Amino acid sequence: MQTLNFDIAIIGGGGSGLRAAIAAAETSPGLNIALVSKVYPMRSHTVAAEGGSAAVWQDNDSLELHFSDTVSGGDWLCEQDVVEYFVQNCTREMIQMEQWGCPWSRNPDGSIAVRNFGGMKVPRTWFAADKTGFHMLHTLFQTSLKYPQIRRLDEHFILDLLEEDGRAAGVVALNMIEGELLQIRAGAVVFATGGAGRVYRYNTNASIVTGDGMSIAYRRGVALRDMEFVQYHPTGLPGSGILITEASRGEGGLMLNKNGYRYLQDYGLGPETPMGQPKPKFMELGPRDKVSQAFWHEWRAGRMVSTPHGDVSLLDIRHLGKEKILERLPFIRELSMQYMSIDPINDPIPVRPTAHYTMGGIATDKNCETSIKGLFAVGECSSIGMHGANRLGSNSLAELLVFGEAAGRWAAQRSKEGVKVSPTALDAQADDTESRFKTILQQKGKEKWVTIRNEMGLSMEEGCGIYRSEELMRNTVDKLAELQDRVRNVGVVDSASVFNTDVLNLIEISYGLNVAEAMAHSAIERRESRGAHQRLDEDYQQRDDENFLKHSLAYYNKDAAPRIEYESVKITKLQPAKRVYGAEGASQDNKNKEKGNG
Amino acid sequence: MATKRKPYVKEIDCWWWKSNPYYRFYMLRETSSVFSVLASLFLLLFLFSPKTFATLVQNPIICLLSFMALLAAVLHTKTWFDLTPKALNLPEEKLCSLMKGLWAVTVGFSVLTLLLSVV
Amino acid sequence: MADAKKLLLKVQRYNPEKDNAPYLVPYEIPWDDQTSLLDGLQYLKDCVCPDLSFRSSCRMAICGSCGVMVNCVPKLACKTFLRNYSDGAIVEPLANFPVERDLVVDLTHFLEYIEALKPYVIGNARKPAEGPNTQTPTELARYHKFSMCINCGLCYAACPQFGLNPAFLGPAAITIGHRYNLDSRDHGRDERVQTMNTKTGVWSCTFVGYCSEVCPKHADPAAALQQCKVESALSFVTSILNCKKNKEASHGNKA
Repeated sequence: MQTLNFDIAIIGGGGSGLRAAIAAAETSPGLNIALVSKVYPMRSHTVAAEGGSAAVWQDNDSLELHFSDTVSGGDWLCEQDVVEYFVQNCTREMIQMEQWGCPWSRNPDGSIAVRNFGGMKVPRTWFAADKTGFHMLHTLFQTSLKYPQIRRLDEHFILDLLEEDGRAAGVVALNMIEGELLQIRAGAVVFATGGAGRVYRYNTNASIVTGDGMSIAYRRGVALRDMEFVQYHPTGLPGSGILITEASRGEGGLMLNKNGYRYLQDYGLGPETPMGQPKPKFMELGPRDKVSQAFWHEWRAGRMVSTPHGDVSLLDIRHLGKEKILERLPFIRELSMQYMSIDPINDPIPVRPTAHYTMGGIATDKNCETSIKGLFAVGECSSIGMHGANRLGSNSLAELLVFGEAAGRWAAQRSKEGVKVSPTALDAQADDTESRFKTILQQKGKEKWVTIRNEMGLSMEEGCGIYRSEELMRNTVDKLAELQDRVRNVGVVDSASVFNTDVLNLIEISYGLNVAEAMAHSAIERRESRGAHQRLDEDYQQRDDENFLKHSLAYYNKDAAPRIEYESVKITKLQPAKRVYGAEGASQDNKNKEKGNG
Repeated sequence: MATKRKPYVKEIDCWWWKSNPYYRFYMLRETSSVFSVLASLFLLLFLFSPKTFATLVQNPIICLLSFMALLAAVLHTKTWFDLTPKALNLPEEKLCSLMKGLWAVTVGFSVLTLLLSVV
Repeated sequence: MADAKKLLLKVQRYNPEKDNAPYLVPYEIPWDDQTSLLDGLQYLKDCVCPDLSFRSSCRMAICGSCGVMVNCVPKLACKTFLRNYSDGAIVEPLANFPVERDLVVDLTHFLEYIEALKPYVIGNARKPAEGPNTQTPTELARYHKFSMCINCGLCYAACPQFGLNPAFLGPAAITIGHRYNLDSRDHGRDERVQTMNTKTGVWSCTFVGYCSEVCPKHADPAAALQQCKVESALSFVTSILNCKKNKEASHGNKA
């Protein structure tokens, strides 16, 4: 097996991986950095983000407001010191992106334009029309080409972590085009491997979002934190699950049921705001969890529109007019026309909630480092604790930058401390990984990975969807355990070395099963309702701060169910309060203001 | 270990342009320049031997050649004007009036030349 | 799906470890009005031949992974709908690239060409603490179209000049380089044109124009190339004039 030596190995070439690589290259120019990705970096799922990236910008905004929106949006399950660092650094990162060439949308005078987003008190979402993720990813990718010390290993699929004395020492990866394994040794390893949305059947995620890094860290003993919190985005296209950005509501789009009624006013987001005058934190500008939950209730009440691809609500942006749609939401129009044969200039877009984002992930400290020294995690695969129980739209692109930068910097520092490795020990670990890989490559059996994947996706949707109950979650937990057994009997048909995606699909699905188990078990153990985790069981419909103002930690337990533990939440300045939006939210704000003045 | 890769590279033969209408039009555009060259050469003859030129210009083959050259010139003008907006990074509305202007000048100049030759 | 409509896709297969050359295999695919070609290929991988290899990721025409030839036309599989091919279609890997396996091609050179044209802001020392650059919507519009490239490689598959001469930097790479040349924040034009205004750069282009026709994001690479040619020609003329001037100046000095 070939061995390559680096100072830092970054796994994942999306927004956070690229940002980390650039940060490491800039702060420590002498370091050799490997950027390992199973796809070419510009194929990473960051590319599909549409609406924008949050950072305080307008004069009427403040870090405090961004902080309180984020913490209350996360239903107080956020690490407040982390959120504080985050809001302090967002603006610098957005400006940095601008200086690297990101084509942010502008005001007529050439200054940066910002837009409204759900759950945000003030417009603070920087955007590049409705292709923000695409432009950010390409800007980062192209900027990374400036640094010769960043060596890309494109289309290298990660199989395991190398460890020495409880310290990360590198990874083993498969060169997909050669079919050869590769030992990548490094003084620090950064996982920037993205989320795990593909464990659900209907999701907004790319097919590559399979929880690889989460699963590898988890199997190596690192906790997966807050995994029960999976965000349903309220507006995905029926059938495909393709994302229709929240910016369409930020710009003034309306959510309608089959009677043309703006139903959100009945679910704590009202009163109705006038058409064309979106008001922050009211109605369509509510947070994603609340908007998706409102859909669920309307759907149960039979007030949604039936289509061959399931029941949908209608997202109406017609009143924005052709010019604004073409300027601000051209991609949304293109997607609706291509995939639904609907032109949103003339007709409302059919949408439904779709699994979108994993708030939880690999538990890290505030420097992005995991419980394995030298192993860092950043971006959607990680849980640094900033999103809590529900992420606000446009906070995740900002997270990639703010914590990507931090992870790169801290990893560089850790790497410089040096790591004593015994080459023979690492070789032995790598050989072990190789023999396991070869066993999978030759695995025989009657099962097909496609069946496992479909049954997992359906079961997650049923048990760990927008609303959950003990019984449904129990079914999912049992199903996942069954699938864990069956996945060992999947026969691998393709025996070729060159670009064998048959075996890689199987490995991705096994990774996904681990992550799904952590999600389902964390969910069933959380006996309360908070943010994206809403229970129908009578006793658990309310938030229970006394018992559950805690992060869940799921630990891998080999062939048994994961072990679930809890840890406290760091609260610095915003004490838990009732989480309210619409008129109730406004009156709470006023009361707080009076208190502040008094 | 030796690589198992064996990249397959498809050979491109000289008829690559036949299968695609877009390529065929491109080849037509390129070959049409042959007529322009021939017509130009013929015009050059006038400089050296005006008498031979005057006799030859009546020849039906030369007439045909000139006619083909005219068609080729029209085709070239059209494709050239299609290319112009691409080569200029101008806003849409400015381009539109520019293109109209270009065609007006071309038509005007052609008509003028015709009139002059008739006179 | 037993009663679903079906059509015949002939898909090019090639396993370098077994086959000497690629060959077409016919497959029946169930489809409805929403089925994309990528869905069709995924159906094959899921249900018929798990050993079929192709690239895919976002399935919403923004990541650029799934470029293939459909009836000899370069297309993104996810943005191609089977409803438009009810009589069937031939699916092959992107033309003009070496085929590694089934529908997977080697994009190494393509990536190298993008890199060669230094697609990043050069010569702007502004720091985040100094705030963002000002860029008016008009300045943004000058390069915006060219920043839409998703690096899918369809334009390379459409370009006969790249097919005939793989050393040609090609439409996408030059478009991305040109995008930075046009950006009001960038001052790197002089560095880029050294690579761009060469025989393997813009002057390999004979304006077939098919690249812009197939571009799924309307980034219009043909326009970028023509603009580069104009600039290259102008800079050639100015360099000659400058050269003359310099000569005269130096003669003048001697006198």
